[in-house]
Amino acid sequence: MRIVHVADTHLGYRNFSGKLDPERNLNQRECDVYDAWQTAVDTTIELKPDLFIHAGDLFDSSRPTPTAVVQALEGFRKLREAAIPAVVIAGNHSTPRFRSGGSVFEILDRFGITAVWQGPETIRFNGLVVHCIPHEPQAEQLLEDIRSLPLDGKADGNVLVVHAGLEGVRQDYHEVNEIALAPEELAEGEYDYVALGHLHRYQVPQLNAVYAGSLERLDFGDLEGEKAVVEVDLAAGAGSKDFVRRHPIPTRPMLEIPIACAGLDASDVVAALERKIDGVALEGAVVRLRLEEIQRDVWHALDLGAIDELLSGCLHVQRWVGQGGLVVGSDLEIADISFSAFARREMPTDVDPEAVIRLAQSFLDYAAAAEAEEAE
Amino acid sequence: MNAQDKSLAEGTAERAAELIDRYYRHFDDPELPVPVDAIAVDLLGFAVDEDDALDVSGMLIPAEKQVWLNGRESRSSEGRRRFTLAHELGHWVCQYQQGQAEPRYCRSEEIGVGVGRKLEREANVFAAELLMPAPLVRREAVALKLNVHALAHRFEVSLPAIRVRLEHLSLLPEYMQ
Repeated sequence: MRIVHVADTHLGYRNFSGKLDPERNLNQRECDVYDAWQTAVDTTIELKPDLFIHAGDLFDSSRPTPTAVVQALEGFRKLREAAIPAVVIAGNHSTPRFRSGGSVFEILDRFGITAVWQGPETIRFNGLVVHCIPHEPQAEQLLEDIRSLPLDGKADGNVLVVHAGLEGVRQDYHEVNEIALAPEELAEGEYDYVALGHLHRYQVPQLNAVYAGSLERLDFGDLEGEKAVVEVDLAAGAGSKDFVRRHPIPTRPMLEIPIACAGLDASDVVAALERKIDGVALEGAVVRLRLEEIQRDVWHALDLGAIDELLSGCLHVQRWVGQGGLVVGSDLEIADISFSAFARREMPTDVDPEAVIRLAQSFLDYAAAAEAEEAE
Repeated sequence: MNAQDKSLAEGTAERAAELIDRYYRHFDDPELPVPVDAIAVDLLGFAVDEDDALDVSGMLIPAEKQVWLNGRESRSSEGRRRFTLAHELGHWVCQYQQGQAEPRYCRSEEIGVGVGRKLEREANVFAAELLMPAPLVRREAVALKLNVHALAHRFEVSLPAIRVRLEHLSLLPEYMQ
């Protein structure tokens, strides 16, 4: 019995306003996300699995746009026509905080898609038992939900589908409303497979559990590795080499370009950038230019026009005064005035400075992106 | 594990296992995490102290039966602290009990599974064998379904340390590497 597992498609996600797909006249990043979803569906149809699982955050918001809903329905229509049953659970992004307005999952349900959003539910597909745990804002309740669905020893297989983080598993971006399971809790149940959603980077935290990862890169905290549809062969068994296979899908290039600016003048920085991007495919890329340890006067003297020209093929460029922050003068006792340096130096011993830095960085990322958008 | 570490591991694993056996013959502690502080202090009679000003990760002074640990590193990661202490005990068991008596100063980059020069590598192999004995790693790996984070908690070691140990024991399937 084979399963295809995807998660975190975030249909309806938008970024870099003003950057439109010329043919569809929609936000380019929104189109990228739709394309990734449709590619994942087409890949699934080629693989002909016994079941398609979406482990949460189908939509980027709990009130998706009609276009996002149409994209979702179109994907599920293709799966239905290929006679591939599908199940989807609600993740933290797709779950409304106030349920009085209804849920978009009701629409999916009316169109014959097995959608689980109101509470834990066990669903059977031809001998396979799928335990679905939609997003729950309290970790204790989520664990209780998982434990409330007993394993079926007579089934051909037991699969758990859950949307949550995992304590200790680092992610370089932060979300509101997210919860995490303890690693030991994940190891509790004797499931044949655990289809996880929430973390955007593909990872295998335990022998029988996989985060499929998102289908597009949605932020600079998610640059490593390729994006893929995950195929699981339950008959091969967890631990065997055929248990998990990944089928990569194309994504928009997203990369960071770090330039070590210490000791460079403004023209040196531009020259260093030119050398750094030599041979790098930048057409259509989303780029963060990290100017590390740049001196304040060099920053102000930079020829931004020249930099823009060098990166003109990119979809979007974020200029970032990176690691180390602005260096205000080499004769100062504390040359590094960045928040990171301050946090590492001054944080109380019971607080993890790296976690605080990552959280702060995510806020700064957000603010920088907003500022860049305003400037456009 | 490379050939050099494999040859080091043969005698070193036995020494680490013997030390653990000796400890449990005298003391009644839980099996995991391996009580490396108690092994150092109660069984071997070492004084273990931390110093923020230390410019190395760990220091063994055999004549004084003293281990110094870098206080800043120790606070940043309990797993790292335990590995450094086990590493210093590795110098004691594998080298000083064989006749060497000079103090050892161990830099951060020389402490960790699979790194360092010969004497440091030997101490690293010993530390891995002491904190993560192969039979216990195999048993817990099955119980915890190779959940690397849960195993790191169970053995109270860092994630990289348990991951490398699992790889050395050929326990990680390809799709988890």
